[in-house]
Amino acid sequence: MRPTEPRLEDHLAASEPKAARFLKLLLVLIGVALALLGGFNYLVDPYSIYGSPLGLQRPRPVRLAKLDLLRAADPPPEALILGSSRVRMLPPVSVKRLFGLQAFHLGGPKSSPQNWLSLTRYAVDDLGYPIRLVIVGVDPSSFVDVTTYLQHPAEVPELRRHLRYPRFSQFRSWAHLWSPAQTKASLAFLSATTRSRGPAEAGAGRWDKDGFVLRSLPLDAGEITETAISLHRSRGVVEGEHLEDFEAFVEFATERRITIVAYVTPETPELARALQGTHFPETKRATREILRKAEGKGLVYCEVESLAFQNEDFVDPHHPTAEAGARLLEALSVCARDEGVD
Amino acid sequence: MLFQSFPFLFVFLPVTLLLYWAGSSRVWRQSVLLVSSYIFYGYWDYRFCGLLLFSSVVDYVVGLQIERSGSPAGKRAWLLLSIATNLTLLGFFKYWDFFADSTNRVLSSVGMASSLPLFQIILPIGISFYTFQTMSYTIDVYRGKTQATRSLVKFLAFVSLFPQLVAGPIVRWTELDEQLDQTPARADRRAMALGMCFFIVGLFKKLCIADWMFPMVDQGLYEGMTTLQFWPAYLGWSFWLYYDFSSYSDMAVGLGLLFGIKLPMNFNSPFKAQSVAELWRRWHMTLGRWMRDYVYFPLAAGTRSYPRTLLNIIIVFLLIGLWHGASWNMVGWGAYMAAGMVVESLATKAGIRIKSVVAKRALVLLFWVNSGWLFRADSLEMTSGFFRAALGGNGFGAAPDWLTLLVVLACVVHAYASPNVWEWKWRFNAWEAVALATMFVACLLRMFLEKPFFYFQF
Repeated sequence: MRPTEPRLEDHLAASEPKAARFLKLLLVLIGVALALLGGFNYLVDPYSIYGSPLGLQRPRPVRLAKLDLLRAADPPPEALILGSSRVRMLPPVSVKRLFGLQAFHLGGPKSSPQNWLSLTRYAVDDLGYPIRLVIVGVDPSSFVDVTTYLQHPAEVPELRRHLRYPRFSQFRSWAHLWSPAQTKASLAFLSATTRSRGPAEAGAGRWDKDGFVLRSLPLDAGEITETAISLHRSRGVVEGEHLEDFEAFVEFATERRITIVAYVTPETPELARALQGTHFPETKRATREILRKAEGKGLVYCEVESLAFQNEDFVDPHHPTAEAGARLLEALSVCARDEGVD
Repeated sequence: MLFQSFPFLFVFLPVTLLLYWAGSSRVWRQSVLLVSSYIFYGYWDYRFCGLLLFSSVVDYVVGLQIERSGSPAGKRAWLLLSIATNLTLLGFFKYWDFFADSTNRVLSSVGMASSLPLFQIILPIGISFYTFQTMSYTIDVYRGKTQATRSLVKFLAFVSLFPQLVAGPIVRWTELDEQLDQTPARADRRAMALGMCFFIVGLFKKLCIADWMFPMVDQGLYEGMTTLQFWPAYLGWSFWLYYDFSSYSDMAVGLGLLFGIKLPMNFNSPFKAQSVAELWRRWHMTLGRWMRDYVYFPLAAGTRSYPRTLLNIIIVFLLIGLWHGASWNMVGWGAYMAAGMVVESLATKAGIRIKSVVAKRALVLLFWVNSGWLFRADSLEMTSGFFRAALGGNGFGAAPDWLTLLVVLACVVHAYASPNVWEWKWRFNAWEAVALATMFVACLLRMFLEKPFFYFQF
């Protein structure tokens, strides 16, 4: 039996005024829906991105709180520690001991090339700090566009202008008014505010003056595992944009004679096993490959797998204990020395 | 640039539409389509625009030369030049590494040294589509089915037309020739309204169905999965592909209508097919049509031999397999499709008939789903990993993933019960407008997970 031949003509026989009215109504409805959703997120503005006129009490975003500390740093730092929360157990005082450089900890909610680039440029160009070393904890998802945009430096005006395409980044920031993450955050923020619990704590008193964590927020191991599995369920495609930002970061460091010491952040063997069925191993391999390719071009890549971390070396599936952090930093300093970094 | 992205929806498309309808001359509209299509294509990688331009200009010149050439031999020579150029481009960019790697492996396995270089070439997006499109033009000019166009702008706009450039439908010159010359003073609101319906439904299928189910079904297709985890995901993957391709086809037709251009349908509920042959008249319809008209018919010309017919079918499906990708998996997939066609033909010839429509459709579905062993897998190693998981090599597991199973069942019901978008009775009333606006906002909320269409890789 032959299938019915597709025909558009039947629909095109409808009356022109009726179609015109439908078209107008559809566009108006879409416009109204977009205005309502965008307006709601703009007014609630849970991350203080848009400068909402409502004046709701918000927490200071982690990134901004750390930038406040960085601006006030005294003496000025000569080394930066960059990465996600997974680098939080790399103490600046140990960097001073091992590398002989005054360090500042800029670890934040996401480890991405955009963050490394903008934070380093900000410290060097805007604050005029004599940075000579950057230690970067690269997450296996750092080059993959699977995480929410809300941890992007484009959300922070001070950092936005240090991105490769500041205007485009600003556009993306506005586009986020219609994102599910922003909407979810707006709803959660409103819910917390209306129940008089106040906004979630962002950082006051959480860090020492060198950016090192004083007080960790409790994390749920089960939740981390679930989030990681869900993150790596989709195929992790290494994005060209991330690679280009990474190249720009390496280029900037080379120009300014800054040494980058990079490593791929470890996780518990238990979490690694749980992630075996996902794209995680493939993504991690790709991440290592990117770092290996950049090695020698202003970057020292340190393989930390040989440290053979066990489950007990972590406080939760992603975050090393203070002892494991010390071992990690020791290994990085040995690796850097082997590569001729003083 | 993806259709389901902010830059496309809120900048590129509105600006292009405004510019297109702002002018009323033929050249203006063709120029707007041409420039916007190159911007659309160059957004991925501007270097590939040169390749697109080269392929188009060669076929434009060849078309004119075929017409001007006085002798049949001269016409044939020009046609061969067009085919050779297109196949060389396709062969180099798409098949060279596969060919070189296979040759190196075969020769080294028999102890001979071979080191054909591998260039690790990035496949220019849409190359398989536009080379077939331009080839069909020169072949049609050669056959006298159409006249060669004098307008370079129009021809370039035809080849690069952005709604169909990167993943089909594979359009023919005869389908767009007159449409590209139309210059109505204002847009036909019925076409625009229908275009919006097609586009939004396609967008919804992509973002809220295909992309939503992707992590669920794709994760199951990895080594180490137990049998009960594997099967729901494996079945689900076939439906994911169904929605992914269906969505792109709807969006392409919808976009065409916004510009007053009717593109051919490319998708017609393939799981409603009652035979493998019908499946190929419903799935990627314009590719099947291309292969039929430009490969199968010429091969079949002048012969009534049944074995020769079967051989022609095998050749066509091996080529369809290769068209889909440069790997032995895809060759195997083409062979599998050919085997299905041959067995079906032999059964029909032997008078074996299944009366139940449900049974016939179930067989076709089973046949299609089983092709996923080769179509989904990136390599033959992965295919063997699939078999291991499917047959209990990694253990059977305690329970299936119920959610995935439920999603698969819902997909089965939808694929069989729901009509295609073009079969819906659009009334253009307020309820439809509300439903479509809601769907659009739902899509917007999922748009931050930009995931390209599967068929882009071809």
